[in-house]
Amino acid sequence: MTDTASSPLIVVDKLDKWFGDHHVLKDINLVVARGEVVVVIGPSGSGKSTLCRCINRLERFQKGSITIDGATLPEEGKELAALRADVGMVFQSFNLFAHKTIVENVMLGPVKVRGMDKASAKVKAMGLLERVGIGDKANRHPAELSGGQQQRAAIARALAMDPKVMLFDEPTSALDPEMVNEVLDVMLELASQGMTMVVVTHEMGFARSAANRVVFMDDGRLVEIATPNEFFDNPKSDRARDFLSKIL
Amino acid sequence: MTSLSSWLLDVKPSKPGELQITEELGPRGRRRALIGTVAATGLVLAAALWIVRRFQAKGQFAPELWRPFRQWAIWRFLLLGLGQTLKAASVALVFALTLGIVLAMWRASSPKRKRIPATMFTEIFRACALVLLIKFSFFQLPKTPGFRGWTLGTYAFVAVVSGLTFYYSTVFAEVIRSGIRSLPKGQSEAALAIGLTETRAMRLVILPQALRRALPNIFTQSASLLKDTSLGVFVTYSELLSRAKIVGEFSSNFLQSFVVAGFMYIVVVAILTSTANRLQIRQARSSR
Amino acid sequence: MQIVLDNLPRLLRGLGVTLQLTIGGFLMGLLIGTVIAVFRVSPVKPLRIVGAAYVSTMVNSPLIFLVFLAYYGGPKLGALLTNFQCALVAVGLYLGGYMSEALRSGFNAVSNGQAEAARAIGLTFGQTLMHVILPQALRSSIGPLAVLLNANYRNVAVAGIIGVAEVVKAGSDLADETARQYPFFVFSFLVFMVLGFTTAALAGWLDNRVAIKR
Repeated sequence: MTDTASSPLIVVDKLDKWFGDHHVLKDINLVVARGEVVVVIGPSGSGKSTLCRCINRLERFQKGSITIDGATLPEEGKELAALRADVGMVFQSFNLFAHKTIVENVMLGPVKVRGMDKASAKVKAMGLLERVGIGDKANRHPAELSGGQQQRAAIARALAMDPKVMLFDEPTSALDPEMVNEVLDVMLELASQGMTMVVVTHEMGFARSAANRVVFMDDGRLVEIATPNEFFDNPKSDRARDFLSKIL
Repeated sequence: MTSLSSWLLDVKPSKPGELQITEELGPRGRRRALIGTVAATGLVLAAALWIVRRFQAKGQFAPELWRPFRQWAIWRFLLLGLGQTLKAASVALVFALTLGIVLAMWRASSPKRKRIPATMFTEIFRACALVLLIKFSFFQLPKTPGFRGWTLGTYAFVAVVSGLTFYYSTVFAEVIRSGIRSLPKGQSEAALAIGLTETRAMRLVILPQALRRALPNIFTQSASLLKDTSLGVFVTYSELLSRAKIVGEFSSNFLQSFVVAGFMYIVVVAILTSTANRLQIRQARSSR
Repeated sequence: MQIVLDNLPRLLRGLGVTLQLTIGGFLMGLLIGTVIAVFRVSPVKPLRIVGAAYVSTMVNSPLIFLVFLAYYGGPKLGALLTNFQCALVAVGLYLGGYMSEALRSGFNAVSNGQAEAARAIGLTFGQTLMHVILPQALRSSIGPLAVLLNANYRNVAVAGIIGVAEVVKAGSDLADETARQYPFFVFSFLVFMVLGFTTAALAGWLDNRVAIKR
């Protein structure tokens, strides 16, 4: 495993996706380095969520390739499941397993996929839940938690798999405003600890403070890639300028 | 060939409201599904063939068994039976729906003199077996003052209709009640706030909306009601099923007669159930 | 009411037959319903068609018609069944259609996001099904399934038409023999009322126990 520190973690190469006749992703090329935080922003329908979901093949694409840590993204089956174990994902609608308690939610992956024994998994799960600040809710069911707490539990669930990279698909879009910050704080802490992250979001504050690079997408295309300062202070493309003027 | 295979496989992205059990298939998955499809088609055809052979071996396809159906008289006999079925069903439906609406309204109202009798009626008759109600009506009716001296056929008809009415009124009452409960509370509050009495609020605001919401279920239960007219065989009501039995006795082709009658039932009832389904889908879509 | 008590053994035997048909038919229907439900959700189109056709036929046919079909058609297929078995088969086939829909509705009540989250942490198809989807689907199905059980004990009374001595027929046979109708009617009414309330209470209790807090 030499030279891993410098080799890119995610390589998206000439990606195209059609949804029926609709061309939703057009010639996407993106390289995400280890430890990098990439924030993807853009108007609705720009394809940013779809791109994020292509990375762990929750969405299929017709052209191009995606490589994760040197290995091509498998098509299906056990290989795909194995790769997904290394790629953590946090959803907009949390998607915690409703029939299990919070700690069981976090333990399920390590036990069933990594083959950990229940006791160690529980210790690990409790540690993660403490880390995201909801240790006291471990034995509750998801419906008993607030949105912010559920999302933090979802982050803990994803972290339990010790992923190489974390994907965030609009993690705070479904939250009431007062709960957005508690989730963003957890994400900021993750970023500061060197986790490679791809975050699709509307939270510009997060993009400014945590991102190494900002990727702006519009109408299925990668329009601009720049550092946060470059992008927000001095956008190069018209569409980016247009978008920023509308939201800031 | 590819279009055939894609038609066969047709792993469509799920319609809203349906769980997508497998994700979109990759190349290997597609191959497996295709093999499975071909194998399944083969199995289904083989099973169908086996059944047809068995019937053939027992001579069920022999023309004598089916010849009675060449005669119009037989068809007329059966179709009249279908008419009787529909007659009993429509009369019972009207009564049951009306009574059901009244029961639902009374159960939802606050004065106890309305709510308690309605609740008792609903709970008691809902637990009854329809067969029992029909049989009892048939038995009791000729003995009741004011209902004497009719023909047997009339007694049978009234027995079936009254049994269906008493039972299905409670079913419809429940269906409408859940329609009422599914309405946002604000509706009744607003109606009362503009000065309508409880009864008028119910009649003008709540009930119309509740009925609209309950419409798919009403259709489903009407289909059930239509099917249950076949219980008329217990009291010699000459509807479709009993006539099919008679034809079977007459021409010694029970299986064939029942198949023909069954076909008629399925077609007629399917009209109601498919309407119910379409209403359900349309409602689900509009509420998004 | 004395006459009822005198004939209680026979009436209770009839009740036993009713219960056997109810529960036996329910179990058979569950088995068939599961198979048909699997057909209906599978990616293999012929199976989906067969499943849909089966459900359509059963849901649109009166149970009593299926009883006749089994009774008169069974021998023609070469199967020698007792009256009871004919009724049981008819009830099982009939309920199977309804149950497949109940199971399917429970299945579809599980949101797509649950399956996606399961896949996203690396669970295979089988693991996703076993640990995430089925537990939730089955718990959501309990409500509709209980409703079917509650309806079934009333439905099986039609078996009397082919001579199966369930409780209604037992009652009416005795009524004809003793020329006393009312006591047996009352008895039957009471029996069904008790059965109705117990199954409804059972269903409610079960639903509360396993309901997933959402």
